[in-house]
Amino acid sequence: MNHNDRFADALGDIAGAAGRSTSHLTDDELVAGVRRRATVLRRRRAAGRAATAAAAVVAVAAGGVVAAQQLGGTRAVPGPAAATEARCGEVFTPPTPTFEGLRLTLSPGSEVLAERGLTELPSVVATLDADASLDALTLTSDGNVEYTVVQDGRVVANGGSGVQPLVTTPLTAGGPASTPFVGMFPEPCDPSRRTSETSLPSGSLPAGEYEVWASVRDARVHEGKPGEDVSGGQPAVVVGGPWIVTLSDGDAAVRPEALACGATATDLVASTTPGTPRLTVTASRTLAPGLDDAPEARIEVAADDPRPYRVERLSAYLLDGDTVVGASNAYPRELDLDLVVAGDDARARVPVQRGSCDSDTDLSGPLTLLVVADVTDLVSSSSEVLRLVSERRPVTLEPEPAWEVPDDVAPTMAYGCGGPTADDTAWLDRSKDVFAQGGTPLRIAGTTARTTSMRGTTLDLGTTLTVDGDVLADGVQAFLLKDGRVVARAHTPTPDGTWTTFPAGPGDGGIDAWPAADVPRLDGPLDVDVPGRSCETGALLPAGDYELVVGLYGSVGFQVEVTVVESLGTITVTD
Amino acid sequence: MGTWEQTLSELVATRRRALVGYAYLLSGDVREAEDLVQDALVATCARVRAGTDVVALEAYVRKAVLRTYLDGFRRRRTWATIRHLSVVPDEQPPHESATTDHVPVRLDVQEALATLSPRERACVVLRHYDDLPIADIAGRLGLSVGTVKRYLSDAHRRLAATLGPDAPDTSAPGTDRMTLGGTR
Repeated sequence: MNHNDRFADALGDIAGAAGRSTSHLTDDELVAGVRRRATVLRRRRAAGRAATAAAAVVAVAAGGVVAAQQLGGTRAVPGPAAATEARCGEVFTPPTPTFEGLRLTLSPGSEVLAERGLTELPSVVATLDADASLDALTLTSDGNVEYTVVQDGRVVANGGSGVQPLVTTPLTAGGPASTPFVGMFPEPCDPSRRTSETSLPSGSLPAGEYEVWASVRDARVHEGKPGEDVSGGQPAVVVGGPWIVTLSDGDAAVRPEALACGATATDLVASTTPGTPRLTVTASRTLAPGLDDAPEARIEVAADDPRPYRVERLSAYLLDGDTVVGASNAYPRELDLDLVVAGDDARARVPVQRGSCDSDTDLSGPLTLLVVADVTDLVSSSSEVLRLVSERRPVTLEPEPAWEVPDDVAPTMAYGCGGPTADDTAWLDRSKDVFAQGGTPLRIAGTTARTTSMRGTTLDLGTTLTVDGDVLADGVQAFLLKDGRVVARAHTPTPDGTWTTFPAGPGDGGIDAWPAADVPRLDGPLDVDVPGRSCETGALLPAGDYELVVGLYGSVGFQVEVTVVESLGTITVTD
Repeated sequence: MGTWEQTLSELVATRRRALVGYAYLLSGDVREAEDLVQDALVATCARVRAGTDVVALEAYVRKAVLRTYLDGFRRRRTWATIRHLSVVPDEQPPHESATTDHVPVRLDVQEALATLSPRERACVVLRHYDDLPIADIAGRLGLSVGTVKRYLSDAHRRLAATLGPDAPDTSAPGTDRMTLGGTR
């Protein structure tokens, strides 16, 4: 067994011992807690989808342009038939509700039923009709509804609900509806239509019209007014539907096609047609896609346009002249920008690929950025896609850096990204009292040959740092501050060649003892790498003034790590 | 096809200890490890769909543990620390019965891990506990291969300073040290 095996075994022993240690939660308590919290998160997403649809309907109503009956294809079909289980491929027979008048209806704002996917089936609520046989009841369930999707009388998608801690829903006859249930996403019966991912969504169906039914699983009805202490309850079938829903075929529903590699973009001109949404793009002159440097697209709907628009696709093209040499597409699932109405501050970062679309090489040099947003007007009964085109922007792609933007590069740095915080300040004060080997106080002198640098991964300022004092140092630190907060930071380790063997310290354990080892020991002035990228996002810092702070990261033995910092004043970053 | 709740129950019943142990290697604190696992379970179960089996769920949860651990440390702003190598925190797993070779090695390894930065520690755990190749570690952490190599090199150097001959091999493939910054 070699040292690698011993180390791995030691890790296994440590992990095993930790796993056997006593916890304050039993397994059942842990599971119950996770279920509760996960359920809340699932419901918030479902409520968010319902709220988005509600905003769309409100926008239409405010404009007074389109009457409600022209929205989507809502056609309620009354009268469920006998109750049966919904199995894939079989003829569907809707279940019979147990309690007359207790049913599921569409949530407010879910009435738009055109161009949806399996992840966007209508949100439903429970209601008790005014003429129901019961004046009041309490419905208990797991808070989920299961959808059954039917076409030509047969089940084509189903499944998805689960059992969780009890959810109680009080209802009175003719009273308000319940809060929306969590809609679980049904899975297509055709295995070829399912996705391989185990996270949501689960697949898609071919574009077309379908009947959608919803049912509350594991529902129980307790007769009585809300608020009364009820127990037991009767198992109940609570259903709703059918609703005629037009499903789009996932990503294939977007028309027209994205531009192909090598195609010309001559016909794509910035949109100026009155009455159509406007697309604008903000992008730095220099982009570094490898570090998530991305332009931002903004879609604005005219104030007097009452229509809601859904973003079907957002495409970023890199052009050499008028020819597409790079392309990337983002779809609603990936964008935090799928529904836009007048007054929205609708923005999304548009990923840009640095690779050439027709070779394995990376793009470089001056190019032109063009962004296209394909949107659909949710009021229109057609599925015609409106293409919004941005102004063209000159950009230069920066080469892939050889190293990542440092974050926690050093075990300790004077300031965290966004700092200094109260903790930073406390240690900063203390560092003045902590000395290097032999009691000699640390003094550092930093100099900067230039105070202006163009934007880049590393700023060209000619900054050096000299230490006065005998210290073991493991590198130097540089920070850029904006309005007193760290926006960039870098740690430059002491280079090879300055290591020296340091003897063991005195004593047995405690702060003054350290084992003998090779440690870095400063010798002469050090060049300081001044970072030019945001420590938060990795993007190049925008042009402007920043405060430059440099620091020495040193250690007393291996026990006490200290940093002494000094401000070198204001530097300017230019485009 | 089981519900996600059923899979969660099965995962907790069969793999909870392994998950807590994994989280402990990263965090070095049992209570924090339990919190990491619980948060990771919630984050995963909030998105997973019915039909996910236990093996897949555990894989997702482990990734979430790693991400939650690294995200948590990025929010912490302390920078200068005093580390006493002889101090063993309270409420930590009891040490196994001591033998001449075994307990001292594990104690030192625990303490040596504590000297690593969060990313160094994550790289070491993924490399030597999960036995992942460099490229997979890079993908798991969202870093370049070169950066992972640097973290491992720095971590191995720190571990060697504490563990001596028991430290992992710094000359193993993929652990070449990289030089950063400009020339001197």
